[in-house]
Amino acid sequence: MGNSGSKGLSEQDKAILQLKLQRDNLHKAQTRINLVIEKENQVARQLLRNGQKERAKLALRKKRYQESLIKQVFGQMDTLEQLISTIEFKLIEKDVLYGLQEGNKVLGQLNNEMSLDKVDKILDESDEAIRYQEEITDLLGTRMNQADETAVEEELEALERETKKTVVLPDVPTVRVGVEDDKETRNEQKEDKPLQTQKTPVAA
Amino acid sequence: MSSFEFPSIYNFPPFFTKQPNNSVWKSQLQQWTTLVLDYCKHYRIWRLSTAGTPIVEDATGVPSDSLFTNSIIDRHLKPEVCQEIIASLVDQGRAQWIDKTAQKSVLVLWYSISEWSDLLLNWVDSTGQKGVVLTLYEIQHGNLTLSEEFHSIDETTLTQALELLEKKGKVLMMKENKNVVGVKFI
Repeated sequence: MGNSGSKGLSEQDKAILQLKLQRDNLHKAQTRINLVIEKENQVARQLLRNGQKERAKLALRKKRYQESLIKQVFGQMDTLEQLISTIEFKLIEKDVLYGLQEGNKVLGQLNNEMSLDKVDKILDESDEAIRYQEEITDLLGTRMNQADETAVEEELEALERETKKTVVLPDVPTVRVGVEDDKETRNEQKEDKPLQTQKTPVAA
Repeated sequence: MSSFEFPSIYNFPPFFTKQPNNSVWKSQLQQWTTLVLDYCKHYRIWRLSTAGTPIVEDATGVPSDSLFTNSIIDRHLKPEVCQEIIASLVDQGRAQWIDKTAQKSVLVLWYSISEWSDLLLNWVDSTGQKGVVLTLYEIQHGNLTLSEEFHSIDETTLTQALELLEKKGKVLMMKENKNVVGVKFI
């Protein structure tokens, strides 16, 4: 659409206009013929009321002729409408083709900017960068190992201290066990109370 | 087509006499101009004589008697008062003299030319017809415009609305013998 818009009115536009004007003329003819048909219908009814059967028949013959005319008009209208639609769709197809062409041009330009030599160069640089990174990783790995060793030694010392503390533990549990026994007895007392409360509603 | 519902003042006899008090007359004039526009919009009357009678090609459903005559209360406006009301509409930009020298009939603009052009633009957008060649006839009488305000629009009014769009660069005009026969919205 942008293409045809920038150019203004094209020869195709003028051709479509002519076809549409012809279609409009047929539409007007259709309207006129419909009016004539309706009029002949009314005339026929009036003549029948007046008892003029032969003249009524004549009016109806005119009506049938007009109806055959309008069928021709409909046919011509259909033909024109189809032709108009076909042309308009062809214009759309033309725009689509133009779009594809432009797309191909752009793609070609982009491909030109990406030559194979450039790609190889970039890949080589990438490989070098990867190798450099691996060396860095190795160096960091060795240092980390040293750091880990010192950490392990510290953990050993900590464990030794903890083992000494555990020797003191046997004296403490006797007091704790006693506290736990008291808690258990309290729980039993608590359990008795709800049983008593359950009995009273049964009595009720 | 349903009948137009007149405002209650239309059955008030003094409404059909130009009032001597200036401020009352201004109010009366405003009510008459509003009535004319609403009446013409209701019956889709595009042209009106200064006597208040519609000027229509096919008078199906449109009353043929004068808007300025109320037979129920047996009242009518004097011709010079009718002229003043129509002239007021022209001054407000809601009507145009069809013949400026004779000043006997007007093009009634219940929408302004600018408003008509906006309605046309919106219709073309909503029906996806930008870049499509359209004839004036199909805009006026086509099936696609049956539910639009401008269906059956007067050709002069339509042409002016399209010319306004042309100045704004929204439309390309297609002419034959200096007459606009088609347009292309861009």
